[in-house]
Amino acid sequence: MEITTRIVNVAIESFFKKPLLHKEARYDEVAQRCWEAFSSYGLKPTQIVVRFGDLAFNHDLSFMLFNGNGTFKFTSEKVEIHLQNAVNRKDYEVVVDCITKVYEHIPLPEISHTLITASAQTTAASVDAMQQYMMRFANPAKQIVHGGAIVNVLCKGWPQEIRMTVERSLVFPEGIFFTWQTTFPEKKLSRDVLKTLDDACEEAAGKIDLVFAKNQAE
Amino acid sequence: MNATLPELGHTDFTGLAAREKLTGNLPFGGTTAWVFEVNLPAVAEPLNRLHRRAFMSGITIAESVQKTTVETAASLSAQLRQKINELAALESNWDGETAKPVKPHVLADVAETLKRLGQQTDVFHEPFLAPTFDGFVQMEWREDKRYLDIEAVEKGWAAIGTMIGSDGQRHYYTAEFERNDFAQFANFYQWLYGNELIWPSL
Repeated sequence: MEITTRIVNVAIESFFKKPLLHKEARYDEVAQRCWEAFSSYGLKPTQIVVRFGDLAFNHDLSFMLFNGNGTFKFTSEKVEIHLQNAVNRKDYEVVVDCITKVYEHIPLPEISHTLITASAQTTAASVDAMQQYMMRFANPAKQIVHGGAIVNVLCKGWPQEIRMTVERSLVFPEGIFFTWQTTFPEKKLSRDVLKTLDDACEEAAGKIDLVFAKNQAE
Repeated sequence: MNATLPELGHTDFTGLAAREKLTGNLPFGGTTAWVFEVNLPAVAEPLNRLHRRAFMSGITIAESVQKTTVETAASLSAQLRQKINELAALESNWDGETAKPVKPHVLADVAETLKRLGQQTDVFHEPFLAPTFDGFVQMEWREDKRYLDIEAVEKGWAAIGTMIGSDGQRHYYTAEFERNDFAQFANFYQWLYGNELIWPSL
């Protein structure tokens, strides 16, 4: 069944191989690089905040973009990126650009692994089409009126398993809600890696007969 | 509710929780958080309408970037500002074939880079701006003996320099560099005006 993406959220956490003491965190340089990378997105220097908890590991640098739809946080043990409410291809390109800028331009310590979580609200052509598809997970005889799926899949080009969940959307009557979770070992994320993951998530959906519509609105 | 809340003036839901869980924290006064757990059947539909209205009426990420680009362009000349606005307004198939609209994040980087270049050089010569068919932007400068084209590409900037030697021969140079490497961008600009004698990437 063909579905159309309506809203996408992405969360990324890259864990460092060892936690950084405050003196190792180089927040002055990180702040400078963050401003260089994101000033074109409206980041003002004073919006970059360093929180000093103590000299050990209780400290972080953070900032927000896009009216709160993008949050970035550098802590002693990881970098966290949350980008939410991407509603079209243009938004998604900005999301990819933001993630890429963090890994290309901000000085980060060695990364042990990265957790990547994405979710998407999608819609089918109609409520009937959605219900008909989702019926495969229901069992009226046992009064299971709605269901969903949790699958762990391997996809072409992506090195790790992807855990995908599919269920009825609470937002769109004709909607299906997805989450994908996976890890990426050691290396920094790049535009090419994210493209591969994008393809892998589509491939994962295809394994349960859901195909993302091409040529969606720009 | 787990806690008795004081009378609420209004509640802002600023986005969808990633997993649609209708539980979470309500911060008050920036210091105290109240745990809430809503009665799903009673509020699900109104909440859905609220969510949908928020998405439909709110500014999108790309629109936010476009807004910032317009603000950045305000510090450029009227001519450049107009050109950037024209590029932002291009729609799909603007060339009558299959050209893509200019990517908002690319135009944002172009506007910001030109703004910084204008602030950091004594004499700022404006480039000619042109869209490319695949949604990027090219900047062109022409001087007597040197030409410089810097194009935004997927992985950053691609620069092409042309120098006309004393024998009339054209010499071509190329380089690619990161989108955020403004120092290198400025080096190429300096090369154009002879302040850098050697092509900067060499």
